[in-house]
Amino acid sequence: MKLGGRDPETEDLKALSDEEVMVRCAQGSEPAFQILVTRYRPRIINLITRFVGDFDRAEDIAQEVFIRVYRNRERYRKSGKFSTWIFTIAANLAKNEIRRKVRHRRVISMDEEKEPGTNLAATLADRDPGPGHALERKELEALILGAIESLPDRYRLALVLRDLEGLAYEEVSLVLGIPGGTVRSRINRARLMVKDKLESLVRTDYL
Amino acid sequence: MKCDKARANLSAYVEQELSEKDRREVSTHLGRCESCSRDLFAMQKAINLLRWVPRVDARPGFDDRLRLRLRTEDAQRTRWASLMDRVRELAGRVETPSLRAIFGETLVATPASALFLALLFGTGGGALLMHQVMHGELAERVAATPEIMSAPNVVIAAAPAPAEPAPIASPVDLGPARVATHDVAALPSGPASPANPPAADAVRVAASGGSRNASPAPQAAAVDQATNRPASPARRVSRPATEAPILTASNPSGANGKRVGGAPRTAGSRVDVAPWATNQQPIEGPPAVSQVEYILDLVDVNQERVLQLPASAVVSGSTVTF
Repeated sequence: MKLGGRDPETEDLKALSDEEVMVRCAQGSEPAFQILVTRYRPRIINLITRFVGDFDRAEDIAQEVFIRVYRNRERYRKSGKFSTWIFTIAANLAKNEIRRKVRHRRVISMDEEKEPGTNLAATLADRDPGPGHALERKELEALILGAIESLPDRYRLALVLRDLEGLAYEEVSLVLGIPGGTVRSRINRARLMVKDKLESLVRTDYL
Repeated sequence: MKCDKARANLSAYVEQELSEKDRREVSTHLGRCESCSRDLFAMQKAINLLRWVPRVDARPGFDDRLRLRLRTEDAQRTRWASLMDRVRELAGRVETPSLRAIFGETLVATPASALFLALLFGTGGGALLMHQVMHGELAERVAATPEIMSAPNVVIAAAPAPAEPAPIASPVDLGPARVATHDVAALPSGPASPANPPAADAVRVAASGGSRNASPAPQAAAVDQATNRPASPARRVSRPATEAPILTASNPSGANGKRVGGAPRTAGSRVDVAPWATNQQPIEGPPAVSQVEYILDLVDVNQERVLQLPASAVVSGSTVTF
Protein backbone atom coordinates (compact mmCIF):
# COMPACT_ATOMS: atom_id res chain seq x y z
CA MET A 1 0.00 0.00 0.00
CA LYS A 2 1.37 3.27 -1.01
CA LEU A 3 -0.03 6.58 0.03
CA GLY A 4 1.20 10.01 -0.80
CA GLY A 5 3.77 11.06 -3.29
CA ARG A 6 3.41 12.27 -6.85
CA ASP A 7 2.25 9.89 -9.46
CA PRO A 8 1.49 10.62 -13.11
CA GLU A 9 -1.73 8.71 -12.70
CA THR A 10 -2.81 10.96 -9.88
CA GLU A 11 -3.33 14.00 -12.07
CA ASP A 12 -5.61 12.04 -14.37
CA LEU A 13 -7.55 10.68 -11.45
CA LYS A 14 -8.25 14.12 -10.05
CA ALA A 15 -10.53 14.85 -12.96
CA LEU A 16 -12.64 11.78 -12.39
CA SER A 17 -15.77 11.44 -10.29
CA ASP A 18 -15.66 9.63 -6.97
CA GLU A 19 -17.32 6.63 -8.51
CA GLU A 20 -14.82 6.45 -11.37
CA VAL A 21 -11.93 6.81 -8.98
CA MET A 22 -13.35 4.07 -6.81
CA VAL A 23 -13.59 1.79 -9.80
CA ARG A 24 -9.92 2.43 -10.46
CA CYS A 25 -9.22 1.70 -6.82
CA ALA A 26 -11.10 -1.58 -7.09
CA GLN A 27 -8.89 -2.42 -10.05
CA GLY A 28 -5.86 -2.05 -7.83
CA SER A 29 -4.85 1.56 -8.34
CA GLU A 30 -3.16 2.84 -5.21
CA PRO A 31 -3.17 6.49 -6.33
CA ALA A 32 -6.93 6.16 -6.73
CA PHE A 33 -7.24 5.14 -3.11
CA GLN A 34 -5.08 8.08 -2.11
CA ILE A 35 -7.34 10.41 -4.05
CA LEU A 36 -10.37 9.08 -2.21
CA VAL A 37 -8.65 9.49 1.14
CA THR A 38 -7.75 13.05 0.28
CA ARG A 39 -11.26 13.88 -0.87
CA TYR A 40 -13.16 12.28 1.96
CA ARG A 41 -10.87 12.49 4.95
CA PRO A 42 -12.19 15.88 6.12
CA ARG A 43 -15.81 14.91 5.68
CA ILE A 44 -15.42 11.56 7.41
CA ILE A 45 -13.40 13.04 10.26
CA ASN A 46 -15.92 15.82 10.69
CA LEU A 47 -18.91 13.51 10.60
CA ILE A 48 -17.49 11.11 13.14
CA THR A 49 -16.13 13.81 15.41
CA ARG A 50 -19.47 15.59 15.54
CA PHE A 51 -21.33 12.38 16.14
CA VAL A 52 -18.98 10.72 18.61
CA GLY A 53 -17.75 13.92 20.24
CA ASP A 54 -14.20 12.64 20.64
CA PHE A 55 -11.63 13.77 18.11
CA ASP A 56 -9.01 11.17 18.97
CA ARG A 57 -11.44 8.32 18.66
CA ALA A 58 -12.86 9.90 15.54
CA GLU A 59 -9.45 9.74 13.89
CA ASP A 60 -9.09 6.08 14.75
CA ILE A 61 -12.55 5.34 13.44
CA ALA A 62 -11.92 7.34 10.29
CA GLN A 63 -8.84 5.24 9.67
CA GLU A 64 -10.94 2.16 10.10
CA VAL A 65 -13.40 3.57 7.59
CA PHE A 66 -10.72 3.92 4.93
CA ILE A 67 -9.26 0.55 5.74
CA ARG A 68 -12.67 -0.99 5.18
CA VAL A 69 -13.06 0.88 1.94
CA TYR A 70 -9.72 -0.51 0.82
CA ARG A 71 -10.41 -4.04 2.01
CA ASN A 72 -13.84 -4.10 0.41
CA ARG A 73 -12.96 -2.17 -2.72
CA GLU A 74 -13.88 -5.07 -4.94
CA ARG A 75 -17.38 -5.16 -3.52
CA TYR A 76 -18.14 -1.60 -4.52
CA ARG A 77 -20.72 -1.27 -7.27
CA LYS A 78 -20.53 1.77 -9.47
CA SER A 79 -24.31 1.96 -9.60
CA GLY A 80 -24.31 3.47 -6.11
CA LYS A 81 -22.86 6.78 -5.08
CA PHE A 82 -19.47 6.43 -3.47
CA SER A 83 -20.32 9.09 -0.91
CA THR A 84 -23.33 7.11 0.23
CA TRP A 85 -21.24 3.98 0.52
CA ILE A 86 -18.44 5.52 2.56
CA PHE A 87 -20.83 7.50 4.75
CA THR A 88 -22.73 4.32 5.47
CA ILE A 89 -19.52 2.67 6.62
CA ALA A 90 -18.65 5.69 8.71
CA ALA A 91 -22.12 5.95 10.24
CA ASN A 92 -22.14 2.28 11.18
CA LEU A 93 -18.71 2.48 12.81
CA ALA A 94 -19.69 5.66 14.61
CA LYS A 95 -22.85 4.03 15.92
CA ASN A 96 -20.79 1.08 17.10
CA GLU A 97 -18.54 3.48 18.96
CA ILE A 98 -21.52 5.08 20.66
CA ARG A 99 -22.79 1.66 21.71
CA ARG A 100 -19.34 0.79 23.02
CA LYS A 101 -19.22 3.98 25.03
CA VAL A 102 -22.63 3.32 26.47
CA ARG A 103 -21.59 -0.17 27.50
CA HIS A 104 -18.43 1.04 29.14
CA ARG A 105 -19.86 4.16 30.66
CA ARG A 106 -19.11 4.33 34.29
CA VAL A 107 -21.99 4.54 36.64
CA ILE A 108 -22.36 8.16 37.53
CA SER A 109 -24.94 9.45 39.88
CA MET A 110 -27.57 11.65 38.39
CA ASP A 111 -26.36 14.55 40.48
CA GLU A 112 -22.90 14.31 39.09
CA GLU A 113 -23.96 13.73 35.53
CA LYS A 114 -23.53 16.72 33.36
CA GLU A 115 -25.75 16.78 30.36
CA PRO A 116 -24.25 18.90 27.63
CA GLY A 117 -26.32 21.87 26.75
CA THR A 118 -28.59 21.63 29.74
CA ASN A 119 -27.50 24.90 31.23
CA LEU A 120 -27.15 26.80 28.01
CA ALA A 121 -30.09 29.06 28.73
CA ALA A 122 -28.77 29.89 32.17
CA THR A 123 -25.32 30.44 30.77
CA LEU A 124 -26.61 32.83 28.19
CA ALA A 125 -29.02 34.55 30.57
CA ASP A 126 -26.11 35.42 32.82
CA ARG A 127 -24.41 37.19 30.02
CA ASP A 128 -24.99 40.78 29.28
CA PRO A 129 -26.13 40.87 25.65
CA GLY A 130 -25.36 44.53 25.33
CA PRO A 131 -23.76 46.17 22.35
CA GLY A 132 -20.20 45.30 21.72
CA HIS A 133 -20.47 42.13 23.67
CA ALA A 134 -20.33 39.07 21.52
CA LEU A 135 -19.80 35.51 22.46
CA GLU A 136 -16.34 34.44 21.77
CA ARG A 137 -16.15 32.29 18.72
CA LYS A 138 -14.92 29.30 20.64
CA GLU A 139 -17.55 29.72 23.26
CA LEU A 140 -20.30 29.91 20.69
CA GLU A 141 -18.92 26.85 18.99
CA ALA A 142 -18.88 24.98 22.27
CA LEU A 143 -22.49 25.89 22.94
CA ILE A 144 -23.64 24.67 19.55
CA LEU A 145 -21.63 21.47 19.81
CA GLY A 146 -23.04 20.94 23.28
CA ALA A 147 -26.54 21.26 21.87
CA ILE A 148 -25.72 18.72 19.17
CA GLU A 149 -24.16 16.37 21.67
CA SER A 150 -27.23 16.50 23.86
CA LEU A 151 -29.44 15.05 21.13
CA PRO A 152 -30.42 11.40 21.22
CA ASP A 153 -28.20 9.35 18.93
CA ARG A 154 -30.68 8.73 16.15
CA TYR A 155 -31.55 12.42 15.87
CA ARG A 156 -27.96 13.53 16.17
CA LEU A 157 -26.70 11.36 13.34
CA ALA A 158 -29.44 12.47 10.97
CA LEU A 159 -28.84 16.11 11.88
CA VAL A 160 -25.07 15.85 11.41
CA LEU A 161 -25.44 14.15 8.04
CA ARG A 162 -27.91 16.76 6.85
CA ASP A 163 -26.83 20.05 8.39
CA LEU A 164 -23.13 19.57 8.98
CA GLU A 165 -22.28 17.34 6.04
CA GLY A 166 -24.93 18.63 3.68
CA LEU A 167 -26.22 15.28 2.49
CA ALA A 168 -29.54 15.29 0.67
CA TYR A 169 -32.49 13.74 2.43
CA GLU A 170 -32.39 10.80 0.04
CA GLU A 171 -28.73 10.21 0.84
CA VAL A 172 -29.39 10.38 4.56
CA SER A 173 -32.13 7.86 4.03
CA LEU A 174 -29.75 5.49 2.23
CA VAL A 175 -26.94 5.95 4.72
CA LEU A 176 -29.16 5.31 7.72
CA GLY A 177 -31.30 2.72 6.01
CA ILE A 178 -34.55 4.35 7.03
CA PRO A 179 -37.45 5.73 4.96
CA GLY A 180 -37.35 9.29 3.70
CA GLY A 181 -40.32 10.28 5.82
CA THR A 182 -38.55 9.08 8.93
CA VAL A 183 -35.47 11.05 7.95
CA ARG A 184 -37.51 14.23 7.55
CA SER A 185 -39.22 13.66 10.85
CA ARG A 186 -35.97 13.05 12.69
CA ILE A 187 -34.25 16.05 11.21
CA ASN A 188 -37.20 18.27 11.98
CA ARG A 189 -37.31 17.09 15.57
CA ALA A 190 -33.56 17.40 15.93
CA ARG A 191 -33.64 20.98 14.72
CA LEU A 192 -36.47 21.84 17.08
CA MET A 193 -34.48 20.36 19.97
CA VAL A 194 -31.37 22.29 19.01
CA LYS A 195 -33.47 25.43 18.71
CA ASP A 196 -34.75 24.88 22.22
CA LYS A 197 -31.23 24.31 23.53
CA LEU A 198 -30.03 27.48 21.91
CA GLU A 199 -33.15 29.39 22.85
CA SER A 200 -31.44 32.54 24.04
CA LEU A 201 -29.24 32.68 21.00
CA VAL A 202 -31.85 32.16 18.36
CA ARG A 203 -34.64 34.29 19.84
CA THR A 204 -32.72 37.50 20.39
CA ASP A 205 -33.23 39.02 16.99
CA TYR A 206 -36.87 38.19 16.50
CA LEU A 207 -38.93 41.32 15.94
CA MET B 1 -53.69 23.47 9.70
CA LYS B 2 -52.97 23.22 13.41
CA CYS B 3 -49.78 24.14 15.20
CA ASP B 4 -48.60 20.56 15.68
CA LYS B 5 -48.74 19.80 11.99
CA ALA B 6 -47.18 23.13 11.09
CA ARG B 7 -44.29 22.51 13.50
CA ALA B 8 -43.79 19.05 12.04
CA ASN B 9 -43.32 20.63 8.64
CA LEU B 10 -41.10 23.55 9.57
CA SER B 11 -37.87 21.94 8.34
CA ALA B 12 -39.38 20.96 5.04
CA TYR B 13 -40.89 24.44 4.73
CA VAL B 14 -37.54 26.12 5.35
CA GLU B 15 -35.85 23.91 2.80
CA GLN B 16 -38.69 24.20 0.32
CA GLU B 17 -39.27 20.48 0.33
CA LEU B 18 -43.04 20.62 0.74
CA SER B 19 -45.56 20.10 -1.99
CA GLU B 20 -47.21 23.25 -3.26
CA LYS B 21 -50.41 22.43 -1.41
CA ASP B 22 -48.65 21.79 1.93
CA ARG B 23 -46.44 24.81 1.50
CA ARG B 24 -49.49 27.05 1.06
CA GLU B 25 -51.18 25.57 4.12
CA VAL B 26 -48.13 26.08 6.30
CA SER B 27 -47.64 29.56 4.96
CA THR B 28 -51.25 30.46 5.74
CA HIS B 29 -50.89 29.08 9.27
CA LEU B 30 -47.66 30.98 9.88
CA GLY B 31 -49.36 34.19 8.79
CA ARG B 32 -51.80 33.99 11.66
CA CYS B 33 -49.82 32.11 14.35
CA GLU B 34 -47.11 34.16 16.01
CA SER B 35 -45.84 31.22 18.07
CA CYS B 36 -45.15 29.09 15.01
CA SER B 37 -43.66 32.07 13.22
CA ARG B 38 -41.25 32.52 16.10
CA ASP B 39 -40.38 28.84 15.92
CA LEU B 40 -39.76 29.16 12.20
CA PHE B 41 -37.49 32.12 12.73
CA ALA B 42 -35.63 30.38 15.54
CA MET B 43 -35.25 27.22 13.53
CA GLN B 44 -33.78 29.10 10.60
CA LYS B 45 -31.25 30.66 12.94
CA ALA B 46 -30.48 27.30 14.50
CA ILE B 47 -29.85 25.78 11.09
CA ASN B 48 -27.54 28.68 10.23
CA LEU B 49 -25.65 28.17 13.46
CA LEU B 50 -25.33 24.43 12.81
CA ARG B 51 -23.92 25.09 9.37
CA TRP B 52 -21.59 27.69 10.81
CA VAL B 53 -19.85 25.18 13.07
CA PRO B 54 -16.22 25.00 11.94
CA ARG B 55 -15.18 21.79 10.29
CA VAL B 56 -12.43 19.66 11.69
CA ASP B 57 -9.86 17.70 9.79
CA ALA B 58 -7.37 15.06 10.72
CA ARG B 59 -4.08 15.94 12.30
CA PRO B 60 -0.96 15.82 10.16
CA GLY B 61 0.29 12.31 9.70
CA PHE B 62 -3.13 10.78 9.23
CA ASP B 63 -2.13 9.33 5.86
CA ASP B 64 1.12 7.97 7.27
CA ARG B 65 -0.70 6.31 10.12
CA LEU B 66 -3.22 4.89 7.69
CA ARG B 67 -0.42 3.52 5.53
CA LEU B 68 1.20 1.95 8.55
CA ARG B 69 -2.04 0.33 9.65
CA LEU B 70 -2.64 -1.06 6.20
CA ARG B 71 0.85 -2.49 6.05
CA THR B 72 0.59 -3.94 9.53
CA GLU B 73 -2.73 -5.54 8.77
CA ASP B 74 -1.38 -6.90 5.50
CA ALA B 75 1.44 -8.53 7.40
CA GLN B 76 -0.95 -9.93 10.00
CA ARG B 77 -3.23 -11.27 7.31
CA THR B 78 -0.32 -12.95 5.63
CA ARG B 79 0.74 -14.60 8.86
CA TRP B 80 -2.82 -15.60 9.64
CA ALA B 81 -3.33 -17.01 6.18
CA SER B 82 -0.17 -19.03 6.59
CA LEU B 83 -1.33 -20.35 9.94
CA MET B 84 -4.74 -21.19 8.59
CA ASP B 85 -3.18 -23.01 5.67
CA ARG B 86 -1.27 -25.12 8.15
CA VAL B 87 -4.37 -25.78 10.25
CA ARG B 88 -6.31 -26.60 7.10
CA GLU B 89 -3.62 -28.99 6.06
CA LEU B 90 -3.64 -30.76 9.41
CA ALA B 91 -7.32 -30.60 10.19
CA GLY B 92 -8.36 -31.60 6.71
CA ARG B 93 -6.66 -34.93 7.13
CA VAL B 94 -8.86 -36.26 9.83
CA GLU B 95 -12.34 -35.93 11.18
CA THR B 96 -12.43 -35.00 14.79
CA PRO B 97 -14.39 -37.50 16.82
CA SER B 98 -14.61 -35.29 19.87
CA LEU B 99 -15.99 -32.42 17.89
CA ARG B 100 -18.43 -34.77 16.27
CA ALA B 101 -19.51 -35.96 19.66
CA ILE B 102 -20.02 -32.40 20.81
CA PHE B 103 -21.57 -30.80 17.78
CA GLY B 104 -23.00 -33.66 15.82
CA GLU B 105 -22.07 -35.49 12.73
CA THR B 106 -22.02 -32.53 10.44
CA LEU B 107 -19.06 -30.91 12.06
CA VAL B 108 -15.75 -32.04 10.84
CA ALA B 109 -12.40 -30.46 11.24
CA THR B 110 -12.22 -27.54 8.92
CA PRO B 111 -10.52 -24.19 9.26
CA ALA B 112 -13.94 -22.71 9.81
CA SER B 113 -14.66 -25.00 12.70
CA ALA B 114 -11.19 -24.35 14.02
CA LEU B 115 -11.87 -20.66 13.97
CA PHE B 116 -15.28 -21.23 15.50
CA LEU B 117 -13.74 -23.21 18.31
CA ALA B 118 -11.08 -20.61 18.84
CA LEU B 119 -13.75 -17.94 19.09
CA LEU B 120 -15.99 -20.07 21.26
CA PHE B 121 -13.46 -21.38 23.69
CA GLY B 122 -10.63 -18.93 23.28
CA THR B 123 -7.30 -20.40 24.11
CA GLY B 124 -8.94 -23.52 25.39
CA GLY B 125 -10.61 -24.00 22.05
CA GLY B 126 -7.30 -23.62 20.32
CA ALA B 127 -5.81 -26.15 22.68
CA LEU B 128 -8.67 -28.49 21.98
CA LEU B 129 -8.18 -28.04 18.29
CA MET B 130 -4.50 -28.77 18.54
CA HIS B 131 -5.38 -31.72 20.70
CA GLN B 132 -7.61 -32.94 17.93
CA VAL B 133 -5.01 -32.33 15.30
CA MET B 134 -2.35 -34.10 17.27
CA HIS B 135 -4.61 -37.02 17.90
CA GLY B 136 -5.69 -37.01 14.33
CA GLU B 137 -2.16 -37.46 13.21
CA LEU B 138 -1.62 -40.01 15.87
CA ALA B 139 -4.70 -41.88 14.80
CA GLU B 140 -3.33 -42.02 11.30
CA ARG B 141 -0.10 -43.40 12.59
CA VAL B 142 -1.89 -45.94 14.70
CA ALA B 143 -4.04 -46.98 11.79
CA ALA B 144 -0.98 -47.38 9.67
CA THR B 145 0.81 -49.32 12.36
CA PRO B 146 -1.37 -52.26 13.36
CA GLU B 147 1.18 -53.61 15.75
CA ILE B 148 0.59 -50.71 18.09
CA MET B 149 -1.28 -52.12 21.01
CA SER B 150 -2.94 -50.77 24.05
CA ALA B 151 -4.31 -52.19 27.22
CA PRO B 152 -8.08 -52.08 27.62
CA ASN B 153 -7.92 -49.33 30.11
CA VAL B 154 -5.09 -47.56 28.40
CA VAL B 155 -6.30 -45.65 25.47
CA ILE B 156 -4.30 -44.25 22.72
CA ALA B 157 -6.25 -41.16 22.04
CA ALA B 158 -8.39 -40.99 18.96
CA ALA B 159 -7.52 -44.45 17.96
CA PRO B 160 -9.72 -45.38 15.01
CA ALA B 161 -12.78 -47.40 15.77
CA PRO B 162 -12.38 -50.98 14.71
CA ALA B 163 -14.73 -52.24 12.09
CA GLU B 164 -15.60 -55.48 13.80
CA PRO B 165 -15.77 -56.72 17.34
CA ALA B 166 -12.67 -58.33 18.47
CA PRO B 167 -12.07 -60.11 21.71
CA ILE B 168 -9.31 -58.91 23.85
CA ALA B 169 -6.43 -60.99 22.90
CA SER B 170 -4.54 -62.81 25.49
CA PRO B 171 -2.05 -60.42 26.83
CA VAL B 172 1.30 -61.29 28.04
CA ASP B 173 0.88 -59.81 31.45
CA LEU B 174 -2.56 -58.41 31.64
CA GLY B 175 -4.06 -60.02 34.63
CA PRO B 176 -7.60 -61.28 34.65
CA ALA B 177 -9.69 -60.36 31.67
CA ARG B 178 -12.45 -59.54 34.10
CA VAL B 179 -10.51 -56.62 35.36
CA ALA B 180 -10.09 -55.28 31.89
CA THR B 181 -13.74 -55.84 31.13
CA HIS B 182 -14.74 -54.03 34.25
CA ASP B 183 -12.61 -51.09 33.37
CA VAL B 184 -14.02 -50.90 29.93
CA ALA B 185 -17.55 -51.50 31.12
CA ALA B 186 -17.26 -48.46 33.31
CA LEU B 187 -18.13 -46.69 30.14
CA PRO B 188 -21.84 -46.67 29.49
CA SER B 189 -21.81 -48.04 26.02
CA GLY B 190 -22.92 -51.34 27.41
CA PRO B 191 -20.85 -54.40 27.12
CA ALA B 192 -17.35 -53.74 26.13
CA SER B 193 -17.52 -53.94 22.42
CA PRO B 194 -14.67 -53.02 20.21
CA ALA B 195 -17.22 -52.12 17.55
CA ASN B 196 -18.04 -49.20 19.74
CA PRO B 197 -14.71 -48.69 21.33
CA PRO B 198 -15.25 -47.39 24.80
CA ALA B 199 -11.70 -46.33 25.07
CA ALA B 200 -12.04 -43.94 22.22
CA ASP B 201 -15.19 -42.56 23.74
CA ALA B 202 -13.39 -42.03 26.97
CA VAL B 203 -10.85 -40.02 25.13
CA ARG B 204 -13.56 -37.97 23.57
CA VAL B 205 -15.06 -37.18 26.91
CA ALA B 206 -11.78 -36.26 28.39
CA ALA B 207 -10.70 -34.27 25.40
CA SER B 208 -13.93 -32.38 25.16
CA GLY B 209 -13.45 -31.15 28.70
CA GLY B 210 -16.06 -28.77 29.98
CA SER B 211 -18.06 -28.98 26.80
CA ARG B 212 -19.01 -32.57 27.29
CA ASN B 213 -22.48 -31.64 28.47
CA ALA B 214 -23.26 -30.40 25.01
CA SER B 215 -22.36 -33.75 23.62
CA PRO B 216 -25.21 -35.71 22.19
CA ALA B 217 -23.28 -38.86 22.80
CA PRO B 218 -24.75 -40.77 25.72
CA GLN B 219 -21.35 -42.02 26.66
CA ALA B 220 -20.29 -38.70 28.04
CA ALA B 221 -23.05 -38.43 30.62
CA ALA B 222 -22.65 -42.03 31.58
CA VAL B 223 -19.03 -41.55 32.25
CA ASP B 224 -20.00 -38.89 34.68
CA GLN B 225 -22.39 -41.28 36.34
CA ALA B 226 -19.79 -43.94 36.54
CA THR B 227 -17.27 -41.69 38.12
CA ASN B 228 -19.60 -39.22 39.77
CA ARG B 229 -17.08 -36.56 38.98
CA PRO B 230 -16.84 -34.06 36.21
CA ALA B 231 -14.47 -34.99 33.48
CA SER B 232 -11.34 -32.94 33.41
CA PRO B 233 -10.29 -31.25 30.24
CA ALA B 234 -7.35 -32.69 28.48
CA ARG B 235 -4.15 -31.28 29.77
CA ARG B 236 -0.71 -31.56 28.48
CA VAL B 237 1.91 -31.69 31.15
CA SER B 238 5.44 -32.18 30.16
CA ARG B 239 7.02 -34.87 32.18
CA PRO B 240 10.41 -36.37 32.07
CA ALA B 241 10.43 -39.90 30.82
CA THR B 242 11.19 -41.30 34.23
CA GLU B 243 7.98 -39.88 35.65
CA ALA B 244 5.63 -40.97 32.95
CA PRO B 245 2.71 -42.85 34.47
CA ILE B 246 1.92 -46.19 33.05
CA LEU B 247 -1.54 -47.62 32.88
CA THR B 248 -2.29 -51.22 32.47
CA ALA B 249 -4.95 -53.61 33.57
CA SER B 250 -2.96 -54.35 36.62
CA ASN B 251 -2.66 -50.70 37.34
CA PRO B 252 -6.15 -49.48 36.61
CA SER B 253 -5.95 -46.41 38.73
CA GLY B 254 -3.15 -45.10 36.67
CA ALA B 255 -2.05 -43.03 39.58
CA ASN B 256 1.14 -41.28 38.88
CA GLY B 257 4.03 -43.11 40.35
CA LYS B 258 2.30 -46.45 40.61
CA ARG B 259 4.05 -48.92 38.41
CA VAL B 260 3.04 -52.25 37.14
CA GLY B 261 4.01 -54.83 39.63
CA GLY B 262 5.90 -52.26 41.56
CA ALA B 263 8.26 -51.70 38.71
CA PRO B 264 10.75 -48.98 39.47
CA ARG B 265 10.17 -45.63 37.93
CA THR B 266 13.13 -45.55 35.78
CA ALA B 267 13.73 -45.24 32.15
CA GLY B 268 13.78 -48.51 30.37
CA SER B 269 10.85 -49.99 32.23
CA ARG B 270 8.82 -52.49 30.31
CA VAL B 271 5.11 -52.45 30.44
CA ASP B 272 3.14 -55.24 28.93
CA VAL B 273 -0.13 -54.19 27.47
CA ALA B 274 -2.97 -55.94 25.77
CA PRO B 275 -3.32 -55.90 22.03
CA TRP B 276 -5.76 -53.36 20.87
CA ALA B 277 -8.80 -54.81 19.24
CA THR B 278 -8.13 -53.24 15.91
CA ASN B 279 -5.91 -56.14 15.12
CA GLN B 280 -7.71 -59.40 15.53
CA GLN B 281 -4.96 -61.46 14.15
CA PRO B 282 -2.47 -62.69 16.64
CA ILE B 283 0.84 -61.14 16.12
CA GLU B 284 3.22 -63.58 14.77
CA GLY B 285 6.87 -63.20 15.14
CA PRO B 286 8.60 -60.19 16.52
CA PRO B 287 6.64 -57.10 15.68
CA ALA B 288 8.31 -54.17 14.15
CA VAL B 289 9.31 -51.55 16.57
CA SER B 290 7.54 -48.30 16.01
CA GLN B 291 8.93 -45.15 17.41
CA VAL B 292 6.04 -42.90 18.25
CA GLU B 293 7.11 -39.45 17.41
CA TYR B 294 4.28 -37.70 19.10
CA ILE B 295 3.55 -37.48 22.75
CA LEU B 296 0.80 -39.94 23.42
CA ASP B 297 -2.06 -38.76 25.50
CA LEU B 298 -3.50 -41.52 27.60
CA VAL B 299 -6.72 -41.36 29.47
CA ASP B 300 -7.24 -43.04 32.73
CA VAL B 301 -10.93 -43.79 32.69
CA ASN B 302 -11.21 -44.09 36.45
CA GLN B 303 -9.32 -40.94 37.07
CA GLU B 304 -10.70 -39.18 34.03
CA ARG B 305 -7.36 -37.71 33.52
CA VAL B 306 -5.33 -37.46 30.43
CA LEU B 307 -1.86 -38.68 31.05
CA GLN B 308 1.08 -38.78 28.82
CA LEU B 309 3.71 -41.03 27.59
CA PRO B 310 6.97 -39.43 26.71
CA ALA B 311 7.81 -38.93 23.11
CA SER B 312 10.57 -41.42 23.53
CA ALA B 313 8.13 -44.24 24.23
CA VAL B 314 8.58 -47.16 21.91
CA VAL B 315 5.60 -49.29 21.09
CA SER B 316 6.56 -52.73 20.03
CA GLY B 317 3.84 -55.25 19.65
CA SER B 318 2.27 -55.63 23.04
CA THR B 319 5.08 -53.85 24.79
CA VAL B 320 5.69 -50.24 25.45
CA THR B 321 9.24 -49.45 26.32
CA PHE B 322 10.32 -46.25 27.97
